[in-house]
Amino acid sequence: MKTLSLYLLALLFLSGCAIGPTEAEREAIKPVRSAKIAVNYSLAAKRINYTETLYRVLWLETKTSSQDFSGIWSPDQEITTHVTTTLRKQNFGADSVYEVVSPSVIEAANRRTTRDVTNNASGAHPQIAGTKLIPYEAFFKKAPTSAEFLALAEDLKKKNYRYFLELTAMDLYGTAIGYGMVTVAANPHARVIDLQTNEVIWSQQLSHQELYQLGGDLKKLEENSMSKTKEGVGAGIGRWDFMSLWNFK
Amino acid sequence: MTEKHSGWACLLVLAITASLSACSSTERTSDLENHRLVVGSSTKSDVVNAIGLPRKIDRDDAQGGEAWLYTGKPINTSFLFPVAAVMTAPSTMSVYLANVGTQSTIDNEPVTLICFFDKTGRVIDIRRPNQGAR
Repeated sequence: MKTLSLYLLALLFLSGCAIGPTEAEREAIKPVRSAKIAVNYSLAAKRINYTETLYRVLWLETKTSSQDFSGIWSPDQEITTHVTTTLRKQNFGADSVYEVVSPSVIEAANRRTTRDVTNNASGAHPQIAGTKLIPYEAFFKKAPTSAEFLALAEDLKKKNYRYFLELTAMDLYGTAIGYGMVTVAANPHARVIDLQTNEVIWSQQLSHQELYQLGGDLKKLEENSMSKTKEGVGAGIGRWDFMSLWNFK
Repeated sequence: MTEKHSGWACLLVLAITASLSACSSTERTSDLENHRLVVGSSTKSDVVNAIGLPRKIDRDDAQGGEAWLYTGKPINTSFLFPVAAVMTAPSTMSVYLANVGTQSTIDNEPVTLICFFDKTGRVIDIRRPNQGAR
């Protein structure tokens, strides 16, 4: 009896980890399969945060750092293209916002998003001073009402887009995880906004990651205009399965 | 194995493990000191390949120029030491990793190098604060 109770408790505990879309979300997301979707992925801070753990024979040393890449890479358009390509490969009618709306409207909306997520950050990174953590889920459940977002939404509606897939990450992460391996990752929050009703119909925390053997050297992520970082971001996004995420499988 | 042999074995193990201990790729003080960047011709890409990305970028919106600020130091370093502890039974020994503290360097870490770029992305000046131009 005791063993059975323990199993049931363990099952109850584990069931908390399996967070999928609710029934209402499943219903609401169904039309996305055949509708026009506009995609926008923005990074709030154009920074890459590093963590490396070094074996020092008698002790372990963990070093963290944060570097600014805004001088050599404006990632938003490129990363948005990766998401759009992934969606198209899965037969969704997706377009990058950069293909349909003027850059000034997108930049204004992204600047506003950056300001909003920074002001509503869920906290500060405990080991990387100055780095903010992404807002809690409740923040993303409410559709934005800023003038900048509404201008972008209006332009999309004029071009017959019904849904807006918005992804927002605070920054990128590069981690030396041991045995010479290095990961490039980001943890964007993704949500689908119905542009007709201005309601969030699906919302979820995602992550993408790529693993390289770089001899543990994080600086290699920066060389050649950050080619390894760019490649890693694209590869990670390319593995997203929207058919599963949106419950079409 | 004799006592002499076991001493050599210990030394050998220490030498191997020491040689395997990795260098830090977030600590870049030596890169900042030994770079071969050329004022007037090095580009942003050359700078990143030589000394990496900066900690911070200041922009001059009117002129279109940028100043890249480097410290060369990680923001934070924490240390984990193995600590041996005797459990209840005298013969049982366990080893734990104990965090002996964190050393944060962002607030009082001086900027050691600044690269200035013009609007075309070429280096127009390199300065070491408190040490004059180089």
